[in-house]
Amino acid sequence: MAAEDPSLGDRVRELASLDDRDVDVDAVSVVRYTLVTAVLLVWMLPIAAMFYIALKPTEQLITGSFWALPNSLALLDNLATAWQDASFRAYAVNSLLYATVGGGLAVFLASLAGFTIARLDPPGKNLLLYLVLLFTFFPFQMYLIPLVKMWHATGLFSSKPGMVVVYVAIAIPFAAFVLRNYFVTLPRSLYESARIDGLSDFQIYWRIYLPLAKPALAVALIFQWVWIWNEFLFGLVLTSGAEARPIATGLASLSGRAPRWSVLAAGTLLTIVPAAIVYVSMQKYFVRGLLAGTKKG
Amino acid sequence: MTAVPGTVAVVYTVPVPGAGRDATAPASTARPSTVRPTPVLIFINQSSQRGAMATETEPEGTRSFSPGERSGWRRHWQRLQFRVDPYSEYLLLLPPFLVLFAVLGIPVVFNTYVSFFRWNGSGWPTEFVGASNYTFMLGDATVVTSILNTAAWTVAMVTIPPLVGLGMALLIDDVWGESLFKTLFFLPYAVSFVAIGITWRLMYHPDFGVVNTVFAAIGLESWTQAWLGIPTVNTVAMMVAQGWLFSAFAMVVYLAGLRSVPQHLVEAARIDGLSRVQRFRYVTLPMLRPFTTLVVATILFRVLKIFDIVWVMTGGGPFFSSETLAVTMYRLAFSQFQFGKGAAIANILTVLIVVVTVVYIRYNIQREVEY
Repeated sequence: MAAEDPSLGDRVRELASLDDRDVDVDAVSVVRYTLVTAVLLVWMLPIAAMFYIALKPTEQLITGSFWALPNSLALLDNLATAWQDASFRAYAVNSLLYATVGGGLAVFLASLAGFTIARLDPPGKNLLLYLVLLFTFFPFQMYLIPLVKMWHATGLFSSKPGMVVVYVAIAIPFAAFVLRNYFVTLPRSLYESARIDGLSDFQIYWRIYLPLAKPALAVALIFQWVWIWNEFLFGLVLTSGAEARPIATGLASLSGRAPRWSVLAAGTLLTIVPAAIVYVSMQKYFVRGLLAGTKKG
Repeated sequence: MTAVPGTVAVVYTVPVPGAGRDATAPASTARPSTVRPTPVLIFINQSSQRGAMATETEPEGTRSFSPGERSGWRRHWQRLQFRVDPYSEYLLLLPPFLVLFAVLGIPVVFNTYVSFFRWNGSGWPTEFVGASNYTFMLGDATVVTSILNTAAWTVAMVTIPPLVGLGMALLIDDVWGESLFKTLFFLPYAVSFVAIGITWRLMYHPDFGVVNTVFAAIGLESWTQAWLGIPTVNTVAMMVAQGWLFSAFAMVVYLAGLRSVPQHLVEAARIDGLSRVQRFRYVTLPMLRPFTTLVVATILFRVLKIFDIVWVMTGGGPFFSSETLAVTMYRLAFSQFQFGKGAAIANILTVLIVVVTVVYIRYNIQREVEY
């Protein structure tokens, strides 16, 4: 370098000393870690408190001090009570069915719509896309009254198929949007060369586009799985008993005016665990689903 | 013609209905940018069909669907596919849109219809009452409270959680163990609102709730109260619970945003002598704007129809004081069987959500900066 040039030399020296102007790195990271830990403790307090309450028998909770250690480890009792007496087993089976079958069906149907809108250029494809998006905008309150009436009329009220159909329909628009956005990123020449090789549109969809869309399918499926597992409102309005009630609604029905708090906390744990497992193991896809809105289109 | 192993060459001589329509159609109707060649020669790479290969020894003109003698669904399926191929876009769109229209489309129309009738849910709505289901809202004290609560929720949730989330994102961005912190902070978001509501009901319980216990322990006995039983206080208490979730959501989005800021811009600003604060204010923050749009739009969209948390934590009480519009809608329709009024509130809610969210997104996309 031309160090002889005084102005340039100054500049180089200035650049070299830049780091010194920042605050001492070690001090910063110590402060940062202290802050992170403090915030984390406060953040996790509600969940930790719930665990703690689920450990205790309800009687001790009401009569004893909050700080008194559990006089007996009642966690298993509480869990068993929730599972057996409060029909959590039925709720869990229902929700597992809704989330898996409903989510899977919805993603499949949505992939049909997404592929067609993205690649086959149906007439009015932008209109179709806006229509799909419009359905994501309607609040569920819009559907409740008519659905109750329709489901009573067709015998679908408080039945498993009835709930699956509702969840499929609600889950389609967002999944179709995610998949359509994925399919348009695949080059059009892929479709064209497959056509020239003589594949029908359905074969192209089934053998080429669907296998390629695995990441997007995972995003849509995981997102909708967690959503259906956690869904509450339709379960509240469209079911009348344990035979079709999803788990979140079942949990809410357990929390009446004067609930048995420990059992309630144990039941809450039961509903949290599957969603948390799916979320932690599939976090990458889950977050991608959240960010689906950042891509314009 | 040489047959690649595992490949079946099929000479397709059956006239396909609609095949070649692009070639024969007038140029004006041909759709641009889509080439749909007529399937004539088909190579199907399919190991299941290996063994009985069609070869060129077969006489020209036979329908040499591979293993011709293997009659069965597969052959019919193959033939059916090409028969319906010209209409594939309609056939593929049919199932999803049928479900959408039957389960969601009809209700939207019916709900709008119901909102002009007085109806208790039995039979078909017949008692037309004009717009009175809409006008009653302004004279009904509980609905007015509900509207004010919804407004308060909206203002609180679009301002505080994004700021908290941004702060948290900056705090854990690039520290060692970031992904662990992110997972832990974000965990509540994967949990149902019902579970969140119950968790916070336990927190606020007057006797053994953590909030009162902590206040008592640090000598603030006078602050302890039945948090969810006092009007206004209970709405704020529920906002804390909901804000807890929305902040975690905002944090995850902002972390992705910070990841997307090009480092060379930050470096350039550093070399130009900008301090940490200045670099954040003039480089990072403008780049985060699309992410702020996403955060605020998502929160707006969800907070306007907030239901689960309120329903589980207070049920809208005491005396309807903590209701939001969605809770009022539920109460009118399914507790008091005034389906017309409930439907009207649902419609208002829809208009509110569509207008507010679309206006917000439009306005912000126009303001986005490009580098």
